[in-house]
Amino acid sequence: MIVFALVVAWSSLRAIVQVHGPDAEPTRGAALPLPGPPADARPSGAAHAEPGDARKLRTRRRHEPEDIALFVPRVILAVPRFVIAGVFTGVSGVLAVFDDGALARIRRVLVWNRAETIGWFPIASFQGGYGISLGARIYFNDLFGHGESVTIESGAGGLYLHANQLRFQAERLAGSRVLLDVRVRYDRTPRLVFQGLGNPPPTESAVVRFDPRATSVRTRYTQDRALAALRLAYELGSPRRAIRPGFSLVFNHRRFGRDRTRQAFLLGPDDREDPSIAEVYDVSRLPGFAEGVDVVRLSGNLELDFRDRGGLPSRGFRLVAIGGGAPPQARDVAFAHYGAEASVHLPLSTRARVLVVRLAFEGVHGDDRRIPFSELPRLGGPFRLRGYRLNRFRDRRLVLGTAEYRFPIHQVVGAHLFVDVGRVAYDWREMFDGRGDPWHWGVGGGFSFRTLERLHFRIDLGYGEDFLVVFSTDAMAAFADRHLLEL
Amino acid sequence: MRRTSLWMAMAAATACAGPHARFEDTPVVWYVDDDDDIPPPSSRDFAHIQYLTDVIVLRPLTTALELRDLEPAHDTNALDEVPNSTWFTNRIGVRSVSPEEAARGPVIAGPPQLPLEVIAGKGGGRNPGFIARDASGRRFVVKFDRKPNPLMQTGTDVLVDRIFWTIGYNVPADTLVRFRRADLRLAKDAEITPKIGKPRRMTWADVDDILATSPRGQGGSYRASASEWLAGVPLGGIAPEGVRVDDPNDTLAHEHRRVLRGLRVFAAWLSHTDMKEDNFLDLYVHENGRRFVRHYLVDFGEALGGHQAEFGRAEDGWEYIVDWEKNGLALLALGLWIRPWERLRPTPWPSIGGFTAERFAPAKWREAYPFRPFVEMDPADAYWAAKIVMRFDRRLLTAIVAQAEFPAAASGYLVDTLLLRAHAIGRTWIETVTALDAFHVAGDRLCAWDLGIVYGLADEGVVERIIGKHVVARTRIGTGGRVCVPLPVTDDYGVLRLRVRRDDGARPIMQVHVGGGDRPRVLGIIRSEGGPCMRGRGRPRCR
Repeated sequence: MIVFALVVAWSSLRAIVQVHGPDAEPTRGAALPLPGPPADARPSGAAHAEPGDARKLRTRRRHEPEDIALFVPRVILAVPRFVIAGVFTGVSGVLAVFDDGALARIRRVLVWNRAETIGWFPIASFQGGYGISLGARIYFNDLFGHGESVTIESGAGGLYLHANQLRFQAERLAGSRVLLDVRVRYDRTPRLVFQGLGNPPPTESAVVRFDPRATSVRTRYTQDRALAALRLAYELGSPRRAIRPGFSLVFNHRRFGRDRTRQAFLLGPDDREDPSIAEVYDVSRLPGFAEGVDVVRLSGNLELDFRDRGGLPSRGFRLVAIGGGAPPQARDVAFAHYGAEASVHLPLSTRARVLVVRLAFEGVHGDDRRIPFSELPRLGGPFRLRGYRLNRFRDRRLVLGTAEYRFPIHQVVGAHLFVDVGRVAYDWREMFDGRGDPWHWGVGGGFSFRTLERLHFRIDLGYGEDFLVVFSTDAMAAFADRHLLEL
Repeated sequence: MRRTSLWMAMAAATACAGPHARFEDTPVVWYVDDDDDIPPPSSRDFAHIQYLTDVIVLRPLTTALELRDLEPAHDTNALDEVPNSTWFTNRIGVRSVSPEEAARGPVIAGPPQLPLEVIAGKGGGRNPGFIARDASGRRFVVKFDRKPNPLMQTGTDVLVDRIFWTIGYNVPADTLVRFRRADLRLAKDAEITPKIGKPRRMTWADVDDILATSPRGQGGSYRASASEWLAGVPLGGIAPEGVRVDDPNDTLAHEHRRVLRGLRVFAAWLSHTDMKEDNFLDLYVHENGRRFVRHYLVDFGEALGGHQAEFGRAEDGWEYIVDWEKNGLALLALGLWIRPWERLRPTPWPSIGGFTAERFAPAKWREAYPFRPFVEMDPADAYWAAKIVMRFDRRLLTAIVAQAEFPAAASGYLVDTLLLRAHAIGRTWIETVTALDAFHVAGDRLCAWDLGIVYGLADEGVVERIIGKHVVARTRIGTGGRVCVPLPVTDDYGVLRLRVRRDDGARPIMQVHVGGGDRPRVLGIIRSEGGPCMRGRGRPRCR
């Protein structure tokens, strides 16, 4: 038994030593009689040779066996190889122009001052069903030394005929804890979708001018919109454990009309078969359509942001709650508006794999005749129910859930898989009565290009009612600040 | 890039056909005549975006379609060693190098003497710095650390410089220098090319901007690495493939030079992932009445995890900067594949960053930017480099690491880590081949050393002599690694086909060519007889 125990102990000790690497380092060959040159610099009489002839092989095979075996496949693959090389020779020639000097020149065009706080850059976005929007953004950063910025943005194409925005943002106004976001925007969207209110069934009937709640037919309308929005909040806590109570004041001026028959700019989908809204629906049943909408909305909001970082959060949660509405005002508009959105980031195994779960609800209260159709909660589009066209579903109540699994591919590229589910209804009872109208599902995935602190852009491919792609170079968070991005 | 297994199997089937190669009966060549007098070649421009697009996108595509087999290096001698040339000078690989000599390295005149006169902005590269002239009139490129990682770049630059010098590469004389702002002067004609704007007169504001990026030491001093200006006309970097067409001395394709292919082993050892054309330098020099190009390695500050720290890339050393294979697998696996580097943690020392021996797999190591000679490395190249790495012992590394002037605990960790990584390299690449070396004739026997046993990578082994497909003799290797086998009786030329067998299997057959007669001698060595790289338990497959 003693011998056995000693053997076991010795073997264990040896195994431990081996696992932790060499403890008795060998001599490193100090005693080896190594062949080598007599000196660094060549002494006279030392053997020397031309490059490539030092091996002094007297005979060698003319052809290596593997050269013979691979001759035929090499000939076959030479064709695509030369095609690829030819294409890339052209590309490479173009890229050769972008040496460090050229990059510096490009930089001088994009960045206008030494502190690199003033400049511009191009922006682009793509939305399935609408096409590409292109534009530019001019920025003036760190205006007062505390990160305040002014941006001027203009774009056209895709969703917009044109869109223009002037924005002032300050997360720490003059170094204080006050957050201020002021935005003025004007855009013209020629082919917005209207497909009824609620969840009506589709129809093949030839009857025109339907009640919007009676049927679902995809129609188009135009909108000219001017927006002025102000958000004021105060940050309590620290940046990664922030509580931000505040309020927002939004003025929306909208005028609606028949859709345009073609996109006026750049690429766009061929949806000319969609009829105009007025050809299918009785627009007199849509409050605000004929006379337009001028709405002033005042909301209190509360944001809790306990995510660990900005661009690529791996844990934590965010809650945004709004409550307010449009007090009685001109054009007989009055309604209450409330909603909340909560997202939780759950790390899986490592911080780079994250499950994001989001729940959101929204509702408006008031007389139907005093709630403009454009102010109803909506589902569909890149932020709310992917795989469906923008604003596909509208009604007085909305519920939306999302589960998104994010995982890394590369240092700056991630991928994600998602499931969106949502529904609109006239009231909460209808929403959860378990009968009738279905819940709408969208599934898909995509890629994001980001660093730890900032999301640069995302590509989402979603399938619900349609297979739609969304791409944007704007800092597009998965769950956007919807009450300031209303369309 | 992996070779197509099916095609290689076919090639292996025909590998034994045909006669052996034969060596000339001449003294082994240890010096190459690549320093003939030539007219000045043109300077080579380096366009970052074009280069990266080429190595990340184009070359992987075309390389995959070329179905290239492993071609032996073109710059070796009869003993499968690398002779001295304008690329390389044998040092620790062939002789003892004292700790003092290794610590001194290429430095002759010592560090810069204060005060320093700033004569230009650094230009090029991401790290801040300037060009300065010291009190003795010598010029230096002065570079600083970044604040998140104090001591890292400067210390790493100096110690890796010493290591590469000791190995045999041409490197600049890099030293550490400490100074205060008061020790600086600004030349009246100093110029700088800012990020925004055209080249202009350099001002003290520019100098202060550079200094502001650097951490400060005791008493407000700055620490920098000073790389002494190399004498000669700079001609730009070294192309990873082909030759410099206007240099008549440059006749061997760079991707087939062992000094560049074997560099992969050294780079893996030191985690020197920043391998690009502009981390090499061709200099048109004037020596001994001749003008020719000498080839240098430069810019080592991002080794030992420095590149990882600067770019925040935890995957540095594991994946290319864009790694189609690994990124594609990660996508297909839907994130379920947790890659080895994801569980690594940085060391407690900001000067070391994430440099570690944990999970270090030399065969899986990858540089950040695909470097073609690394792709072409074969087992003989790797063996050559690995046995050089194994020559660095604790005394030598301690003396070299001391040049970096890291904190004592960090220095100790660094030496231990380098030794552990060296051991991993030895197990990976020395044991991939029949590691018999230092052949010499003793009477009627051919003797050699088994480097696997010498370096503690194996405990035992047997040398088998092969004729045709049959083992005709077995000789147990001595406990110290020495082994002798009988020489074949021949009047003219003989070939011994030998392999080492251990418990885990046999290594590839190597050939030792010997001249006969009354003065038997070794004429040449073929390290691996032919066919694809061997795969076995614990042994890597070839890239």
